[in-house]
Amino acid sequence: MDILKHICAALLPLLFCTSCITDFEPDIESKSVLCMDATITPGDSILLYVTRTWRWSDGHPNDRKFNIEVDDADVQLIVNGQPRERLKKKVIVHPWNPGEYFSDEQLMYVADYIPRSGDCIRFEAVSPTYGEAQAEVTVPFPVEIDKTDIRFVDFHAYPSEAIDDVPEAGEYHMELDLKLWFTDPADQTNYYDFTAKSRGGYSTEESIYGYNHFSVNCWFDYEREPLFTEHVSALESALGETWGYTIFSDRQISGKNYPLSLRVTDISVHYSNPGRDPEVREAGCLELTLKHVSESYYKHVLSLWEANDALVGSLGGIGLADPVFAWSNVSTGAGLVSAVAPFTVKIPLMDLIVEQMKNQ
Amino acid sequence: MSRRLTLVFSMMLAVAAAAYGAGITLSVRNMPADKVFASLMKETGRNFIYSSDLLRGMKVTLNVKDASLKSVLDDMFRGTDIGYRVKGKNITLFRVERPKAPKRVTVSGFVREAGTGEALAGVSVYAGNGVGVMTNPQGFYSITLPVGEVSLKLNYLGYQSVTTEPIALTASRQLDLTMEPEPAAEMLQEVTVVGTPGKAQALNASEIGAMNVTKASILSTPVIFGESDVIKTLQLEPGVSAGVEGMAGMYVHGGNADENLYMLDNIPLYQVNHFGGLFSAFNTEALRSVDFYKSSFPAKYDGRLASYLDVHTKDGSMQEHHGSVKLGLTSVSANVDGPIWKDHTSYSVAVRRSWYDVLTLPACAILSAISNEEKLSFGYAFTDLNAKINHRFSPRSRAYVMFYYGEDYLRTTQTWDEKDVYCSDLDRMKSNLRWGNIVASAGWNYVLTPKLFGELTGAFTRYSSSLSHSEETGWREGDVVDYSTYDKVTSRNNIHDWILKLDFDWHPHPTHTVSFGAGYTRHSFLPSRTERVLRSGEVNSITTESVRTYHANEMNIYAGGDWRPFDALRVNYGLHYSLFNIEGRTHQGLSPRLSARWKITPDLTVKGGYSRTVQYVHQLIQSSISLPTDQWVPVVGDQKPQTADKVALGAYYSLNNTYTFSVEGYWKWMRNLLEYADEYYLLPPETQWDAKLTPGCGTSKGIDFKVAKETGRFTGHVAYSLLWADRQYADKNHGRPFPARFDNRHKINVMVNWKINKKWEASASWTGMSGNRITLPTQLWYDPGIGPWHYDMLLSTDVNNYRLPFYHRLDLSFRRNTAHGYWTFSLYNAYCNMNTIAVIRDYADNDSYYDEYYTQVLKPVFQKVKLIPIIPSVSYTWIF
Repeated sequence: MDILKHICAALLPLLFCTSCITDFEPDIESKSVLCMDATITPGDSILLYVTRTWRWSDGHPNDRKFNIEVDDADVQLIVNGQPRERLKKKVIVHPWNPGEYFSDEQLMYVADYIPRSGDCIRFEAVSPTYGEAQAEVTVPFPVEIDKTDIRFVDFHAYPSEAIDDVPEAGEYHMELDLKLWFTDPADQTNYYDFTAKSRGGYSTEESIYGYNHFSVNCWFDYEREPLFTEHVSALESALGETWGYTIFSDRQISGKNYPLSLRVTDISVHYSNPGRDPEVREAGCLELTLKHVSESYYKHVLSLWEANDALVGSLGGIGLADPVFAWSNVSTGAGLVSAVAPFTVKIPLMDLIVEQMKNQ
Repeated sequence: MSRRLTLVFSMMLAVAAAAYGAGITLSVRNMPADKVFASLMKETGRNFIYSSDLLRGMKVTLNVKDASLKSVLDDMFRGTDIGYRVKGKNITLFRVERPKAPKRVTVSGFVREAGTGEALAGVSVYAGNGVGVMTNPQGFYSITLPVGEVSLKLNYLGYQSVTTEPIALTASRQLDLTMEPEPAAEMLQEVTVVGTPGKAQALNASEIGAMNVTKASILSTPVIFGESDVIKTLQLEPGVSAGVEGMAGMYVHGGNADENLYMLDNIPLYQVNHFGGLFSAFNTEALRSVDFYKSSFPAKYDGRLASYLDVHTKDGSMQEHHGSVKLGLTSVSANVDGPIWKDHTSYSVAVRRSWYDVLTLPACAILSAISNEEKLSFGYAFTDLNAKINHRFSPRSRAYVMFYYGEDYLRTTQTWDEKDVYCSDLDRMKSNLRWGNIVASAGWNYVLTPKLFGELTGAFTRYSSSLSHSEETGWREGDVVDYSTYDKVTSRNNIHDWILKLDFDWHPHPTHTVSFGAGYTRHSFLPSRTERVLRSGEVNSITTESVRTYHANEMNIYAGGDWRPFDALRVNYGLHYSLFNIEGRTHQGLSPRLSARWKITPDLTVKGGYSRTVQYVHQLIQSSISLPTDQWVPVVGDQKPQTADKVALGAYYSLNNTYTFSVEGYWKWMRNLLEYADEYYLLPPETQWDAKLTPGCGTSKGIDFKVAKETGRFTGHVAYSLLWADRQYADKNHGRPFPARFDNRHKINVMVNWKINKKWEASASWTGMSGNRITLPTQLWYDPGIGPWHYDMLLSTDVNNYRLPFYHRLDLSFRRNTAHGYWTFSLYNAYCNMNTIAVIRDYADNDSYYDEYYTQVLKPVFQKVKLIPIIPSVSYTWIF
């Protein structure tokens, strides 16, 4: 077997360390086209970010010297088929920087019109440099979370002191099962995104016991809810990554009242509020948002999952399959005009803790 | 004189006007001839002299009025062998001696290898005067010749030419012939040969783009890891693209991977790849010969658009036991064959197994040793088993049973446990992927008459793949372990075929061979079935995503022939008709085939051909490597069978019986092709697979050039092919046409084999070709920021818009014969030109700077991924 060991020692580097990478510039002509990004929320100002596409090797927006903003565009806003206004250019400091690109200020195209649910919003942009682009979206209605069921799976409390059964400080560990009931509007196709966050807070004034604070760490287990993985075949769930994608459609629950299931695990609460600051007490919460989203939003996120976390997209990323492109509803193929109508419920954690301690 | 002459009537009638030429009126119907003559004698006064047996049984029907005696006699004897002579008043009847056609007899039998009795397919059997036939896959030949003396000449590459002693042919007879393999010493001599299979195929056969591949030529082709492979040998032929480097892919004349029909002893094999395509399922040690058709197809074959590959496995020696064991860097194989009952029953068994799993053991051990928490094990292996039993009931009757089993498995196990701490989370993942084929067939062939050979075959062929992935999570507190969550996904797809067929070869004339037959296949397809078992807390669920099983009935009937009306012209004609019944719908396909060869001079021929092919099953392919999850599916719903029409023209020239030059051009139109539509992934996973497809069409055209030398110490070929291939689908690339992925515009292959001496043999193969096409997006757009993670957004672009750089590679192989076997040393990619297999987007390693905010700014670049460097390998084959 000594021979085999030597063969293995010689062969393994050959098998696994043989690839080599060289930089080059492909001889493909390409030109920049207009890109429009906007996420419209009923009741909020319309901000349209007009940029251009760029060739990968030209640079990257996280380089402050590399500018992709388009400042010569003329953008017409059309609402429900009627021309409404021309958008105004406005430089805004970090209103929305999803890509975490390091730009301090962004040139946005802003409308005076405040959109409402049911509006059909259309942008028609023309740039002398980059040509034309159009995109359209219908603003959805918020879908309310009717009821929230909370069940403790596990609870460990280590309160330090309490007045009237309300602790002023303590450390708590728990695990919760949540059911969020909502009714899918009938007679239309609906798309949703669900987000869950934990919030904490602190008071800026230091008491004699130090800063009042409410810190929360937790982990959301989305796998409890089958709708969150309805876009994933069972095979992909084994081969691909599914975590983090919480989009779903109503094709299984159309017109029905349905509870979304969510488990919150490893909730770790550190609470110190000797001054009984109500703001600090209320700051600690779970913030659960059901977003009724446009079809463009849903398809775009779905394409991101396919491109980056599913099997074929992963193979495409290394050149062994066709690449999967991000879905766009802009006529140039670049950008996304989507709309979101969120409905948020907050679950104050301190109230929950106090009630559970009473029950124990 | 044995004939008895009898004067039946001698009468003289006194009729005034009865001179020869005077009018006779006579009306008789089916009257015995002697009675008619009696009447004539009365009427004409002439004497009729004849033998009584001359008119025995002869009936006469006449209706004449005022006719001359001459015309009456001419009418009476027209179409018979009776003549008459008039002398005076006497008319003498006699039998006319016509020149007789020489009697013909049929010589038929089998051509086998001397010593082993292994049937030899494709042997040229010549009887002189341009009369010759080729043996069929079972080694059968039939040739009809005039009575007399004849010497048969047999030619076959790698075997000593045979000229039989003069045989006196007086009656049809069976004549089994044997051929000796050429000893190495003789192979070194420059010998003058009448012809070689390559030349014979090029100049004499009427098919275009057909070839017979021998085991010897497969073994002499240098390949990666020294693993000789029939498909990698065919990749060196013009018009055949290899696909992704190192893989045993085959894209013929711009076709897709699923448009080739691979057969093992005439039974379809659906998945022919091991290790993602690095090796094919055909174990060279189990092969006898291979027939390959890429341009014009015999009527027998249909069901695929691009090519037909029929691999014939060894029957096993009827005389003595043989075997070999091959030890290579990546696999070990063994085969043994011999008689079970001498001269009657033989067996042949070949086994091959890779040992990557053994090779990766140390790597897994090292990785596991480095991490205290994570333990990893990984294993991949493939196995092939070919077994065959062959029994000869009589010289005319033979039966066989063949079995093939091929399987790949990939197993990974990953566990997480922080051993150093008292309490730890636990995670245990297991993945198990298996895929492979099973083929079982039994056949009986019988020489019904010296001119008619028949074969009855029953077979079962199955391809299946299964994947299971399970994950268990939990915790450990001290020694107490609790796995609280269990999640397992199992997915499988398969295709089963039950086959029954009957094939005949009929040799009515030395210049005409007819093949005909019929077949029935019962298909069962399970495109996908996935089951998920989840146990976590109170949740205990089993979810099944299933595409139901489809059953289909396929029937086919064919007839075709090879006919040489005169020496210069040879025509191959045929018709294949098929029915495919599925879900109450029946599709039908009529595939006419026609090819012709015109011999301008003995060394120069031109050919032309047309063929139509119909395909009812296809594979849904999502990547450019062969994945076991690629499903085979039938034509369903509104889909139509894929069809292709191909015309081809060729010219062939032989120089000094040594070099064969060929040029073949083709143009192919493909219709009803199926492909995944753009953005099919946006459909829900439970969507039926057929809703994700889009129909389309395609064309391919090109020219293949080849110069080959098959004899002497130096053999080899130089080949060049020029190709254009494109596709157009309704819902892909916005309906615009785009080039096919393996539209390798230029391809050059040089293959040289040098028999240096008795001990040493060297081979070299150089391949150069235009790169594969890929879809390379170059533009990006700003992330709208609504996904859970942030990525670069790729702007969609035309499909296959970029051609990878020119690909070239030299492979070398050296073989050293020893007393009990041979060593094979090979160098894959000998001058280490690492070819680009993909393009990725990344950041330059050494080209970044920090801006005024101390943020590192990287330079984005396109990068070529080059994979395979020089790979030396060695193997030893021990022959016993």
